[in-house]
Amino acid sequence: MPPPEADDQISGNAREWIDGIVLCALVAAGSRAVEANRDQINALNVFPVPDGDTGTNMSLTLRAITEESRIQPAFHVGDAARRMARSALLAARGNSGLIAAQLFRGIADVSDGRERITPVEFAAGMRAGAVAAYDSVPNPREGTMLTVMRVTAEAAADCAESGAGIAAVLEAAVKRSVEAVALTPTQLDVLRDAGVVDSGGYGLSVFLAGALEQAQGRGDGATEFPPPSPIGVESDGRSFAGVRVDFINAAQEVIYGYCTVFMIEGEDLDVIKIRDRATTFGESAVVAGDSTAVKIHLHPLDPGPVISYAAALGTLSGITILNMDEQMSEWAAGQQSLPAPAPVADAPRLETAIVAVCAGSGLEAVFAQAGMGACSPVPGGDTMNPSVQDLLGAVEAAPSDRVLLLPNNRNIIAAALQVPELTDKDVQVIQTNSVQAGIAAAFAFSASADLDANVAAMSAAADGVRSGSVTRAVRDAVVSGREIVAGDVMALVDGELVATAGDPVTALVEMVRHAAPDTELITIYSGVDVESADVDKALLAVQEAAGEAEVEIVHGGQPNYDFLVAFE
Amino acid sequence: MSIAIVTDSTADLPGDLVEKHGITVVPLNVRFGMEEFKDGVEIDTDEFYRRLQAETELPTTSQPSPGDFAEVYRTLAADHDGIVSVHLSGKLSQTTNSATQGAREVAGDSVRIEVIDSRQATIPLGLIVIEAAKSAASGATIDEVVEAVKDAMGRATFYGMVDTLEYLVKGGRIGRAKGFIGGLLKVTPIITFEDGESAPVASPRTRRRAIEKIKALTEEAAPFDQLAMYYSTEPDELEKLARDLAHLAPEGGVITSRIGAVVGTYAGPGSLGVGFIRKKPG
Repeated sequence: MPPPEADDQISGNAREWIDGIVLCALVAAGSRAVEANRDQINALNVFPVPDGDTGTNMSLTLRAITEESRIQPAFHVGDAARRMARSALLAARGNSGLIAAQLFRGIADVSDGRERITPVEFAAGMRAGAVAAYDSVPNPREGTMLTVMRVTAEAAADCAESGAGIAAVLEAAVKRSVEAVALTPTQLDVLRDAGVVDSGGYGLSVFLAGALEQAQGRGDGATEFPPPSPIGVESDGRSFAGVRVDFINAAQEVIYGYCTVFMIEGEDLDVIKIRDRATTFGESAVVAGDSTAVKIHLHPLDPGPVISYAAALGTLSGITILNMDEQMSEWAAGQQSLPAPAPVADAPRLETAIVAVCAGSGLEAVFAQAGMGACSPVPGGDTMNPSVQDLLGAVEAAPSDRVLLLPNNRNIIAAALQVPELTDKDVQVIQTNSVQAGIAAAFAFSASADLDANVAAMSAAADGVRSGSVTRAVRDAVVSGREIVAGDVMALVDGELVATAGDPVTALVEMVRHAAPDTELITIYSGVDVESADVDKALLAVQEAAGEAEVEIVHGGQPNYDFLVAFE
Repeated sequence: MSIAIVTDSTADLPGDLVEKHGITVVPLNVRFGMEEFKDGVEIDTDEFYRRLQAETELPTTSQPSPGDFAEVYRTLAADHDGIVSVHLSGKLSQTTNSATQGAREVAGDSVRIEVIDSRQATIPLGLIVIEAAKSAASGATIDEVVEAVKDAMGRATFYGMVDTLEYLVKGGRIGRAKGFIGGLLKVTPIITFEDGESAPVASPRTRRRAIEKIKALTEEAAPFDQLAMYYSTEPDELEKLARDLAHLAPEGGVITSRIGAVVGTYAGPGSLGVGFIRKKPG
């Protein structure tokens, strides 16, 4: 491919410069691709458990950005990127959502104060985003979405340095991302053992592939991008080379946003000027007419700005606006139905308040007991990670200026760590990676102790817990060398499979037998679907298996897990 | 002529300290059914806890009458210029009220009586009373003794664990510790006194952890002018706790004592606690 003509750059060819509208269109397309491939991304969980759904988390995070840019489009790339970074951060759910949000932060940093940026600057933004992403998670590891983001940004930068346009830069990025995703099992043992590629990295790759389709003017936002076959996994010898073709899919017409058609009637209308301007509001612009009447056909993300622009020129008539993407309107509805932060109650002001993420009426009650009235719950857990905004709302609503935040899930910790910087309150995150650890931490809370003393005592308590869970496999898998068939009951302790069984009580008892030595206290939380007869049966059997340890079993009411168990 | 120090039996002071500091203790009453006993005088503590656990109906308690106080004040007035009478929290008992009425009968030109609501009970009340006695023994005026009491009140704290909240609840003394009630999981609550009533501090899941927590809270509060530990029915736990916290002992050592019948009616068996008066800052 010959290098782009020099005057392409000088004349500001729309494909080689990225302004706010181009950026929004790229992101919207990437976001739609993630939405369309959500189930495939979710299916790549390492363990076949209902746990931290990456596709859902990324999709919800990106949806918020798209909504933001629909409501308030910006031509100025600096403004657009800054708003994207802000809404992505607030909407970030799970580690994947939070890492994705850093991409926008990087782009916002390089776009600061700029009306438009070059592909070189765009790639620099991706690199800045990758750097921010490594800082955003507590324990960055290679073979994850972070690796994919970093090498992808490098590929984009190399390509952009050679003078390529945005489409070529994105194409290079997508190719490298697919390779990087396929290689993740060679970097991370859990992926190799599970025979899957990293779901977050794959999600990022899908996002970039969607953006690429937009840049190339093809795709309808529903293209399926199947994950590349894992490399270094014995059971599946296919190389990624054959997969890449699927990934960068065949061209299709761009259809998205609102099909907007109307007529302007006035005096001295400048058709050429209106056509040029209309292209900045959306895709597929057709502008025709004379100095007294001009007809406009356009596919904008938001029909508002072009109509406002046209209304200033003359009288509008025959306005039709069709929503071309049902999904987009569902997104809008979903966005509006997000829970508002709980209103600040007239509760007494406390020295210190606790905010704990949990799902299940029983678990909420246990947190209330443990926190001695200082604890308010945020709904959420394995399959529904709350966003940074959800956590921030709960922190703001807590009846104290000092708040201890308990994420209670490995995949919520990073989002929780964003909260302290977003509020004037003094917030400390206790990095509880399970609800069991969170409860132990809450029980170590002292109403009379200061924040630092509570953090120390609660962190130590959380560290002293081994977390067990009993759940059904959602798909066939090989875990720790054991063949699991969908529907099997698995018992996991701190992420390690310790038993499989045909029924939950048997799995529970096996787990207790395995973990009871060196344990003083075993607390079992029964799930929402567990019958009370099974609870009684479980208690008797567990007491026998527990040896010296004290055993308590209470109703947790959590979804998905028949039993959650704390070994202390 | 000097200042006399009076308190009530909820100060749970051991007999030798009462004697050493010349403190006058007015007993409250504890009643099993129709049988009434003067706390620490007419009922043996072992016997009390045996009956507390054995009988189906819980005992009740009552404050000394104004007449009981008047009698004590009258006797003391004979050879003292003033009397400082320090009592358990008015939110827990009418004792301070009774003492005030008794004082009104006796006080006059020859003797001034100051009745003070300590806003505490048990260990910290006892320690505040000892501070008052020390001040009086140093030849302080009545105003100076009152000042010493108020100063000690500001530095006195108590952390106690109860085996069950049943006794505090049934006795109507749960106060702000009511947040502990109704939990799904079994806990060993740790309480303190705040604003003159029971308040929650922590809710450890096991007895061992509760003791560890009390030790940690005590370590944090050091150094002390006075340190005391009390128990209701488990002397071995008290001994171990005293050994573990021996390094925090102020000059004069650690005071150990047993919770008497009136406080025991609410704390119940298996109670264990630490009380102290912090050193003045600086």
